[in-house]
Amino acid sequence: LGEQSGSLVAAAFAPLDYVADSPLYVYAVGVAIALVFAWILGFGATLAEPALNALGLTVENLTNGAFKKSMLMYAVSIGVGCGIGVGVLKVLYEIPIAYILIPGYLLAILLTVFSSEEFVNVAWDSAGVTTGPVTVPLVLAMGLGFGNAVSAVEGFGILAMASIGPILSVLLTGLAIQIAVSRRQRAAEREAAAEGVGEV
Amino acid sequence: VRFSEFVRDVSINQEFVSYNALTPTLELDEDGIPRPYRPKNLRLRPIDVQRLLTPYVAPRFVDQLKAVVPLALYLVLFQIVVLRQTVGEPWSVSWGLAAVIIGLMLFMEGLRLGLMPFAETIGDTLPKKSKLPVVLIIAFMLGVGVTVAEPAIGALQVVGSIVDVRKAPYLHVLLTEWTAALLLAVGVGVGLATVIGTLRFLNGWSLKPLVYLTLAPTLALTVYCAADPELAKVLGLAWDCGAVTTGPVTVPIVLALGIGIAAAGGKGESSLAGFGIITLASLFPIIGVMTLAVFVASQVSPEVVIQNFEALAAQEAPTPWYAETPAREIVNGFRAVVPLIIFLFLVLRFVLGEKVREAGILGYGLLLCVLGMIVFGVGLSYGLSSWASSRAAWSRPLSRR
Repeated sequence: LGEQSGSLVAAAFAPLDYVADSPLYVYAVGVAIALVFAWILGFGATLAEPALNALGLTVENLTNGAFKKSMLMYAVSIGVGCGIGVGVLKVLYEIPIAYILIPGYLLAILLTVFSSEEFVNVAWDSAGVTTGPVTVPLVLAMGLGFGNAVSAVEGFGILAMASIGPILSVLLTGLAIQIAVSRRQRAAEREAAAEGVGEV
Repeated sequence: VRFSEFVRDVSINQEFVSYNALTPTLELDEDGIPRPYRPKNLRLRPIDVQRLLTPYVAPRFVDQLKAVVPLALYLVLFQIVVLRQTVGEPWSVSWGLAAVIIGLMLFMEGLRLGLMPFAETIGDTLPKKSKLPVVLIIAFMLGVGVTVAEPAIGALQVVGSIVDVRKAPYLHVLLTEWTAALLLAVGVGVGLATVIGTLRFLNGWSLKPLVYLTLAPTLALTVYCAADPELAKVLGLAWDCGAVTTGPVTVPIVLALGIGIAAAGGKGESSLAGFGIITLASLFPIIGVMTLAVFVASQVSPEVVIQNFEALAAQEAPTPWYAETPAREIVNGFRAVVPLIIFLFLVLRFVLGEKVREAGILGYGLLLCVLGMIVFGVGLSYGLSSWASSRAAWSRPLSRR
């Protein structure tokens, strides 16, 4: 099924032998449809993953509620969705995978330097948690079907994109929370200071 | 009274039965001594069997149903509504999906009853009874074993046979002739990750430097491979392997072991215990696969690979019976789970000197694991990628060129 839809989605924008009256849509619209399709697939499959739910609970306890469970789940799912979307683009335009992976991981390292230990642990682990026994074969098959349909060399690499995506998105969310918390603390300190001045 | 206990008592559906109704009436023989009571054999009608089994099977079935059906529905609907295409071979696809659901259900239950208790006992008792090097060696071997048992690894092999040898010779070779080596490379990666992750628990290392240290060689190898046009095609596979390894078998077993060791070491009490192993387990296999690819590249040239393949294709040997669809999955299912079980058993019996407790339940769980793996494999090849027929469709335009 994964392969079938993978190879058929390509029919949205490219002329194919085995699909009558293809391309079905104008090129740009077709590519957009394929991307949206992949994005929703990644997003939905990840949100349904039971392991992610468990991770979310742990994380909420770990950060004393600063990082909400739903927030983590959405961050990871959006990350996976975007990752799969980029992966589809990679297969489509035959972008060498190194061009995406190396900047992606360099960015991840950069974010890691600035994040606190808890968020680093959570973010890097969330990449592994997202890939369950149903998602992996589906996405692999879809990638290969897609790759074959547009006659790319190989359709691997979509999963790799799907693991760098959540790392980046969770690290970014973590940083945003850190900044928000520290700003709130600073504001509280300033208020306390102001009150102190007032009392004197 | 605790609130949770109160809620449980209130919500429970209970009925009080007098003990007298359960005890048999005593019969006295001539001397006035009670005769020993022999219960009659229970006889179950089919409806009783069904009533007993439904509450056990139903929730587990529904769990997997929830995981598979929305995805499948989404794919089918998208295909019909947006792409205006019908689903090819609807029957084989739906039987395959049903097999995937049932297989997953059996496997998860088997994992819970069979493999997990094994791993937990070992994680608990091993560090108390053996020295650290022995513990680490066993952790390493366990990491290799669980990788082979991972159901998604089978998907890699199914999918790999579609790759066109002329376009990506190394990729094809890795996925066909060198599959065993590929599995081993991934397994060694996971094993090393288990060892280092455990050491991290014990010594309380920070994850940050570990991530930097692991990523440096990974990225360096990636750059090296990307520079070679033939090797660059393997990169996608290598990075995908990292994601595949962290599945439903590896994560719980490796975590159970790691946390057990850390708890015995006395330093693993931090709230972050348990994190990090998964990260390492998804990065190390990438290095493993890329190293293997570089090694293969140094052994054979792409031209030789293509020639070999074409020679093989020319002979067109009939596929042996064990390589055809149902038999192949059965063999794979056994090969995936049985060695892991034997390894765990040997460790428990001879390294720890413990007896197997509740052998019946354990055996039942392990049986379910093997069965589930087989059904899942069959379902994958029929349902998620009915690849044989689609491949025929693709090879036509290729040969025309």
